[in-house]
Amino acid sequence: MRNKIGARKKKLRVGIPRGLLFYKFEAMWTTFFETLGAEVVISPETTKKMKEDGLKSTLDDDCYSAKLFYGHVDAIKDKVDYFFVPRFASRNKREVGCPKFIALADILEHTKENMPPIIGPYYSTSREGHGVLRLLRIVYQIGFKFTKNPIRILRATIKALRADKKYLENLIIDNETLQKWENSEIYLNDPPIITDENEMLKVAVVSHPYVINDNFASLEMREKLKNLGVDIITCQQMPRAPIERQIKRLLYDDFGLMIKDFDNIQKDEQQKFYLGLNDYLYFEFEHEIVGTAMHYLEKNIVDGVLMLVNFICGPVSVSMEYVKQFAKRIKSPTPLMIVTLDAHTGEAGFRTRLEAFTDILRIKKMQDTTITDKKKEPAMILA
Amino acid sequence: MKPIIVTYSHFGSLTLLFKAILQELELPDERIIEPTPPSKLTIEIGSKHSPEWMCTPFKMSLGSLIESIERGANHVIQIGGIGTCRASCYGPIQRVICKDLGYDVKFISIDYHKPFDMLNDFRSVSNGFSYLRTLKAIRRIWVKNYSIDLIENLINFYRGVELVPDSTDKVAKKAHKKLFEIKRIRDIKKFHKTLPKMFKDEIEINESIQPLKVGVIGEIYAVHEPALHLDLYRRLNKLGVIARCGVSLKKFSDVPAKFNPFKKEYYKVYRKEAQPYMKQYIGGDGQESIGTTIFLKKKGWDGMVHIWPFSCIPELNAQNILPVVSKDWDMPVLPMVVDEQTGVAGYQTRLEAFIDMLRIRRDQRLEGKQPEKVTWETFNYD
Repeated sequence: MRNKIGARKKKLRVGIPRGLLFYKFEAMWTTFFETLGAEVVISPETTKKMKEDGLKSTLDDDCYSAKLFYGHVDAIKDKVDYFFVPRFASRNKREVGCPKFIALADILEHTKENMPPIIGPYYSTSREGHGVLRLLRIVYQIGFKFTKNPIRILRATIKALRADKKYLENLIIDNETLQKWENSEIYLNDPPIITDENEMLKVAVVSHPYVINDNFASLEMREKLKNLGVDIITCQQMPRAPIERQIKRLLYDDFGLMIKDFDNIQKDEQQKFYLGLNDYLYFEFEHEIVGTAMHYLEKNIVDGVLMLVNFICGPVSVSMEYVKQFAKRIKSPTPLMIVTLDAHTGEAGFRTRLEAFTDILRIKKMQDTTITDKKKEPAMILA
Repeated sequence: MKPIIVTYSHFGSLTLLFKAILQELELPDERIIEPTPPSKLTIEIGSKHSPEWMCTPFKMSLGSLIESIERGANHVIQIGGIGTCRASCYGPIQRVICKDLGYDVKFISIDYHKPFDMLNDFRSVSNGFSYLRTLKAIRRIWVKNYSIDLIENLINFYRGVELVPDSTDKVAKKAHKKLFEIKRIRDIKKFHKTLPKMFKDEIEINESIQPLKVGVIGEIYAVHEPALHLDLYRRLNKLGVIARCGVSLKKFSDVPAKFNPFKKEYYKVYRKEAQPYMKQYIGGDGQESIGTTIFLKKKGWDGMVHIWPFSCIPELNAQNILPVVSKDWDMPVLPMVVDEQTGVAGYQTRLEAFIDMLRIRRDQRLEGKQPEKVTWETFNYD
């Protein structure tokens, strides 16, 4: 009897693997389950054991991040009562996520042994036309597993949405802050270690959040760049306006470069170069990657653009081609480096590539300043 | 203004279908450039200019398009719009790549999910047709698609049991030719009904063969393009196997079935079978691959070949689950990844080993009894 009471008081534990979409909806998910009265168990940071577990249980040509995801599931499998792996397809009418996200829950359910039940709501606006009603249904279906109080569920939902909004507000900087960063007045990430030899460099790092923010998957890229004296901005931090502007370019022939004034296009030019919505880049999570890379390649503000891609990622192969072709087309003076990461990438090799990249950026910067020196007074003031 | 010269990428036996539409739009023959079947060189050109990890169908269709553009085409019809996997990105990216290579080509991206936009796009390449006239022309797609699918199924059946080698191919060639000579839709429908009889009368069946029955599932391009699947069906037929393709373009082209509440489309049947394993659409033909395996097992088939191009995400998702399906339903599934570098010898060996294993399994199951006699009537489920 006592046991039974004790068991009822015990909170239900919901496991969320630290991988893929977790890095996008971190605040929303944890707030929701915590307000419902569940205990949220998030798998620890990626370790080597997780990688090996993941590699063992997946197909060879699966994407690297998905392999790590399976490793994370293995790590907390025995400690939780439920798993939360949503079958996320899309949240906008004309945009979709990655097909991998839709099938993850089904694959886990059928391939892993001793799996606790998976909470995996299916949400697809582009294909099934899901909206607020579907969201409410999902929320209540999940909520009644933890509490019988419908008001509490509603409160948890509102709180979760607010948390998500706040999270994005904290993450995404506004135009003013961006201006300040570009003028080297503030740092957006960890301040780089600058020595007399290592002059500070500005690099835009573009990739998925689950590559940039995962220290193991990105081979401690942040730490390495910091030591090399590089100040970074990630594509997740970029304001949305310049990104949307660049995505609009893809709807025009020749990236809209033939249009005189891209910000207010004349009607005759619109008719001549517009390609139609069938050419829209519909991978939602690629927008920030393509947009940020194209923005900096065009504006020539930062010293370099570093693109990290995890092996065999489908959507990235698309955005990579857009970025490459755009850089080629405008003959961008900003160097672009694309680094592929996979389960077998050596740490030393990656370090060498980063060092070589920063060296080249420094040499280029020195040459550029000497050329401008001859022409006019040096205008560069570094903080 | 330059005259419109249209081309499209090669797509197995369904290539004939695209030509039929354009001819129906009264484009003269000199303004349609028919793509040649992809050769080794085509694939090489395609992969040279494609992103490294892009799926193989992209590379092959790019190669095939570039070859056609070199021959003088200036308009290209390709997939676009909004999809779930990368397939709908083909048009936009190939346009950017062709632009970079210096070709002055106009890409017409067609969203096959949206029939009304498709109508508009086809009208733009026609000889100044009205919407009604274009609709009438497009009507030929689905009517001819029924027949092409039927011919494919008949070939894959009769080639496995034919007495004289190559006799099926001769009949099939005749049927294809006749199908594209007929102009009126009513006559096509009549011809469609005579097809099974035509094959039955003209092909002698070897009664001593006890054929195995193997289904082929996978990504639609890989399943239909002989250059990519390396003539899988012929190889299977040579080993004394009746093959059946589980995927068809009918999924998109069969418009009347979409409006007919009494007719169930073929892929919906498969998706229903897949429900216990995969509840929702995962892009491409992933869900159907799982469903077809269960469907054909219930019909008493011996095994499946799952074929998909390297790095195809939906099929990879299906392949993650197929071993479980195979175990639960006791249905052998042979996974085959194909790309531009697949070697013929290894491919053939794997197929032979798989078929041998299926034969041993069947003999064990029957314990010396004669297997059921297979006729076309028992084979046709449509």
